[in-house]
Amino acid sequence: MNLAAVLEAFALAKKVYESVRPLAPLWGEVKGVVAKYNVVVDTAELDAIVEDADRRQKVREGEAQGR
Amino acid sequence: MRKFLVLIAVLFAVGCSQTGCASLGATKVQHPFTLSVSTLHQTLVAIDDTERLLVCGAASAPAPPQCVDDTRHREISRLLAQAFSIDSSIAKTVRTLAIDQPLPPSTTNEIADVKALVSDVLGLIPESPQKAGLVQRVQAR
Repeated sequence: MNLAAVLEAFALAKKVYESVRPLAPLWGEVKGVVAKYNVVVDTAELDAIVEDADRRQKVREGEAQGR
Repeated sequence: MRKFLVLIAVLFAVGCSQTGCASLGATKVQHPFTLSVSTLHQTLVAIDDTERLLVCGAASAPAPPQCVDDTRHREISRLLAQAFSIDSSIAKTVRTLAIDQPLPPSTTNEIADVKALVSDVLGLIPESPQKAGLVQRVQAR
Protein backbone atom coordinates (compact mmCIF):
# COMPACT_ATOMS: atom_id res chain seq x y z
CA MET A 1 0.00 0.00 0.00
CA ASN A 2 1.43 3.38 -0.81
CA LEU A 3 1.88 6.17 1.69
CA ALA A 4 -0.42 8.57 -0.18
CA ALA A 5 -3.34 6.12 0.16
CA VAL A 6 -2.71 5.69 3.89
CA LEU A 7 -2.55 9.45 4.46
CA GLU A 8 -5.72 9.97 2.46
CA ALA A 9 -7.49 7.26 4.47
CA PHE A 10 -6.39 8.91 7.73
CA ALA A 11 -7.56 12.30 6.51
CA LEU A 12 -10.93 10.83 5.61
CA ALA A 13 -11.22 9.07 8.97
CA LYS A 14 -10.43 12.36 10.72
CA LYS A 15 -13.14 14.11 8.70
CA VAL A 16 -15.67 11.42 9.65
CA TYR A 17 -14.67 11.67 13.32
CA GLU A 18 -14.95 15.45 13.32
CA SER A 19 -18.33 15.40 11.65
CA VAL A 20 -19.71 12.86 14.16
CA ARG A 21 -18.10 14.37 17.27
CA PRO A 22 -20.70 17.16 17.75
CA LEU A 23 -23.34 14.43 18.05
CA ALA A 24 -21.82 13.06 21.29
CA PRO A 25 -24.00 15.14 23.66
CA LEU A 26 -27.04 14.04 21.65
CA TRP A 27 -26.18 10.40 22.38
CA GLY A 28 -26.49 11.17 26.08
CA GLU A 29 -29.92 12.65 25.44
CA VAL A 30 -30.97 9.59 23.44
CA LYS A 31 -29.96 7.37 26.35
CA GLY A 32 -31.94 9.54 28.76
CA VAL A 33 -35.10 9.34 26.66
CA VAL A 34 -34.74 5.59 26.22
CA ALA A 35 -34.26 5.06 29.98
CA LYS A 36 -37.35 7.18 30.68
CA TYR A 37 -39.67 5.24 28.43
CA ASN A 38 -37.99 1.86 28.20
CA VAL A 39 -39.13 0.29 31.45
CA VAL A 40 -38.15 -3.36 31.90
CA VAL A 41 -40.01 -5.47 34.45
CA ASP A 42 -37.68 -7.09 36.98
CA THR A 43 -38.92 -10.66 37.31
CA ALA A 44 -36.23 -12.05 39.63
CA GLU A 45 -38.48 -12.13 42.71
CA LEU A 46 -41.35 -13.71 40.77
CA ASP A 47 -38.99 -16.33 39.35
CA ALA A 48 -37.84 -17.18 42.88
CA ILE A 49 -41.46 -17.49 44.04
CA VAL A 50 -42.32 -19.85 41.17
CA GLU A 51 -39.29 -22.00 41.97
CA ASP A 52 -40.03 -22.13 45.70
CA ALA A 53 -43.76 -22.76 45.21
CA ASP A 54 -43.09 -25.61 42.78
CA ARG A 55 -40.61 -27.20 45.20
CA ARG A 56 -42.96 -26.93 48.20
CA GLN A 57 -45.86 -28.24 46.12
CA LYS A 58 -43.90 -31.41 45.30
CA VAL A 59 -42.91 -31.93 48.94
CA ARG A 60 -46.50 -31.50 50.11
CA GLU A 61 -47.80 -33.86 47.42
CA GLY A 62 -45.44 -36.48 48.77
CA GLU A 63 -46.55 -35.87 52.35
CA ALA A 64 -50.21 -36.06 51.30
CA GLN A 65 -49.48 -39.57 50.04
CA GLY A 66 -47.74 -40.50 53.27
CA ARG A 67 -44.21 -40.26 51.92
CA MET B 1 -29.42 10.26 3.12
CA ARG B 2 -33.06 10.29 4.25
CA LYS B 3 -33.41 6.57 3.48
CA PHE B 4 -30.23 5.93 5.43
CA LEU B 5 -31.60 7.71 8.51
CA VAL B 6 -34.89 5.79 8.26
CA LEU B 7 -32.89 2.55 8.07
CA ILE B 8 -30.92 3.52 11.20
CA ALA B 9 -34.17 4.33 13.06
CA VAL B 10 -35.72 1.00 12.02
CA LEU B 11 -32.62 -0.94 13.10
CA PHE B 12 -32.65 0.93 16.43
CA ALA B 13 -36.33 0.12 17.03
CA VAL B 14 -35.89 -3.55 16.13
CA GLY B 15 -32.78 -3.79 18.29
CA CYS B 16 -34.57 -2.20 21.23
CA SER B 17 -37.56 -4.51 20.95
CA GLN B 18 -35.25 -7.54 20.97
CA THR B 19 -32.89 -6.51 23.74
CA GLY B 20 -35.00 -4.18 25.82
CA CYS B 21 -32.44 -1.48 25.01
CA ALA B 22 -30.56 -2.73 28.06
CA SER B 23 -27.31 -1.29 26.78
CA LEU B 24 -28.99 2.10 26.58
CA GLY B 25 -29.89 2.13 30.24
CA ALA B 26 -33.37 0.64 30.53
CA THR B 27 -35.10 1.27 33.84
CA LYS B 28 -35.70 -1.97 35.76
CA VAL B 29 -38.77 -1.91 37.99
CA GLN B 30 -40.79 -4.50 39.85
CA HIS B 31 -44.31 -5.14 38.66
CA PRO B 32 -46.82 -3.46 41.01
CA PHE B 33 -48.39 -6.86 41.75
CA THR B 34 -45.07 -8.41 42.83
CA LEU B 35 -45.63 -7.26 46.41
CA SER B 36 -49.09 -8.90 46.58
CA VAL B 37 -47.78 -12.12 45.05
CA SER B 38 -44.87 -12.12 47.48
CA THR B 39 -47.16 -11.53 50.48
CA LEU B 40 -49.42 -14.38 49.40
CA HIS B 41 -46.43 -16.68 48.96
CA GLN B 42 -44.92 -15.73 52.33
CA THR B 43 -48.25 -16.50 54.00
CA LEU B 44 -48.22 -19.99 52.51
CA VAL B 45 -44.59 -20.46 53.47
CA ALA B 46 -45.34 -19.49 57.10
CA ILE B 47 -48.16 -22.03 57.25
CA ASP B 48 -46.08 -24.69 55.48
CA ASP B 49 -43.14 -24.30 57.85
CA THR B 50 -45.17 -23.94 61.04
CA GLU B 51 -47.58 -26.83 60.41
CA ARG B 52 -44.68 -29.21 59.97
CA LEU B 53 -43.43 -28.26 63.45
CA LEU B 54 -46.82 -29.12 64.93
CA VAL B 55 -47.10 -32.68 63.59
CA CYS B 56 -47.52 -35.18 66.44
CA GLY B 57 -44.18 -36.77 67.24
CA ALA B 58 -42.08 -33.79 66.14
CA ALA B 59 -39.80 -32.46 68.89
CA SER B 60 -41.39 -29.02 68.60
CA ALA B 61 -44.99 -30.30 68.54
CA PRO B 62 -47.38 -29.69 71.45
CA ALA B 63 -48.87 -32.72 73.22
CA PRO B 64 -52.09 -34.31 71.85
CA PRO B 65 -54.76 -33.14 71.19
CA GLN B 66 -53.00 -29.87 70.28
CA CYS B 67 -50.60 -31.49 67.80
CA VAL B 68 -51.51 -32.25 64.16
CA ASP B 69 -52.21 -35.99 63.76
CA ASP B 70 -51.23 -37.94 60.66
CA THR B 71 -54.68 -37.86 59.05
CA ARG B 72 -54.91 -34.09 59.37
CA HIS B 73 -51.31 -33.67 58.25
CA ARG B 74 -52.06 -35.55 55.02
CA GLU B 75 -55.19 -33.49 54.37
CA ILE B 76 -53.32 -30.25 55.12
CA SER B 77 -50.53 -31.37 52.78
CA ARG B 78 -53.06 -32.05 50.02
CA LEU B 79 -54.55 -28.57 50.45
CA LEU B 80 -51.15 -26.87 50.65
CA ALA B 81 -50.00 -28.68 47.48
CA GLN B 82 -53.02 -27.18 45.73
CA ALA B 83 -52.32 -23.76 47.22
CA PHE B 84 -48.68 -23.79 46.11
CA SER B 85 -49.70 -24.92 42.63
CA ILE B 86 -52.05 -21.93 42.33
CA ASP B 87 -49.43 -19.67 43.95
CA SER B 88 -46.95 -20.67 41.25
CA SER B 89 -49.55 -20.10 38.53
CA ILE B 90 -50.30 -16.59 39.86
CA ALA B 91 -46.59 -15.66 39.92
CA LYS B 92 -46.16 -17.00 36.37
CA THR B 93 -49.12 -14.92 35.17
CA VAL B 94 -47.90 -11.71 36.83
CA ARG B 95 -44.47 -12.36 35.32
CA THR B 96 -45.96 -12.05 31.83
CA LEU B 97 -48.00 -8.89 32.51
CA ALA B 98 -46.90 -5.53 31.16
CA ILE B 99 -46.23 -2.93 33.82
CA ASP B 100 -49.57 -1.15 33.29
CA GLN B 101 -51.68 -4.25 32.66
CA PRO B 102 -54.37 -5.12 35.22
CA LEU B 103 -54.67 -8.57 36.80
CA PRO B 104 -56.76 -10.92 34.64
CA PRO B 105 -60.07 -11.93 36.31
CA SER B 106 -58.91 -15.57 36.36
CA THR B 107 -55.93 -14.55 38.52
CA THR B 108 -58.18 -12.61 40.89
CA ASN B 109 -60.21 -15.82 41.24
CA GLU B 110 -57.03 -17.80 41.88
CA ILE B 111 -56.08 -15.43 44.71
CA ALA B 112 -59.51 -15.98 46.25
CA ASP B 113 -58.99 -19.75 45.88
CA VAL B 114 -55.67 -19.57 47.77
CA LYS B 115 -57.27 -17.52 50.54
CA ALA B 116 -60.02 -20.13 50.86
CA LEU B 117 -57.40 -22.91 51.03
CA VAL B 118 -55.49 -20.98 53.71
CA SER B 119 -58.68 -20.72 55.72
CA ASP B 120 -59.35 -24.47 55.32
CA VAL B 121 -55.79 -25.36 56.38
CA LEU B 122 -55.94 -23.13 59.46
CA GLY B 123 -59.27 -24.76 60.34
CA LEU B 124 -57.60 -28.18 60.33
CA ILE B 125 -54.80 -27.20 62.74
CA PRO B 126 -55.87 -27.85 66.38
CA GLU B 127 -55.92 -24.87 68.71
CA SER B 128 -52.59 -24.27 70.47
CA PRO B 129 -50.38 -21.30 71.36
CA GLN B 130 -48.32 -22.05 68.21
CA LYS B 131 -51.43 -21.97 66.05
CA ALA B 132 -52.52 -18.69 67.67
CA GLY B 133 -49.13 -17.21 66.78
CA LEU B 134 -49.43 -18.47 63.21
CA VAL B 135 -52.94 -17.03 62.78
CA GLN B 136 -51.68 -13.72 64.12
CA ARG B 137 -48.81 -13.69 61.61
CA VAL B 138 -51.12 -14.63 58.74
CA GLN B 139 -53.62 -11.93 59.63
CA ALA B 140 -50.88 -9.33 59.93
CA ARG B 141 -49.93 -9.84 56.26
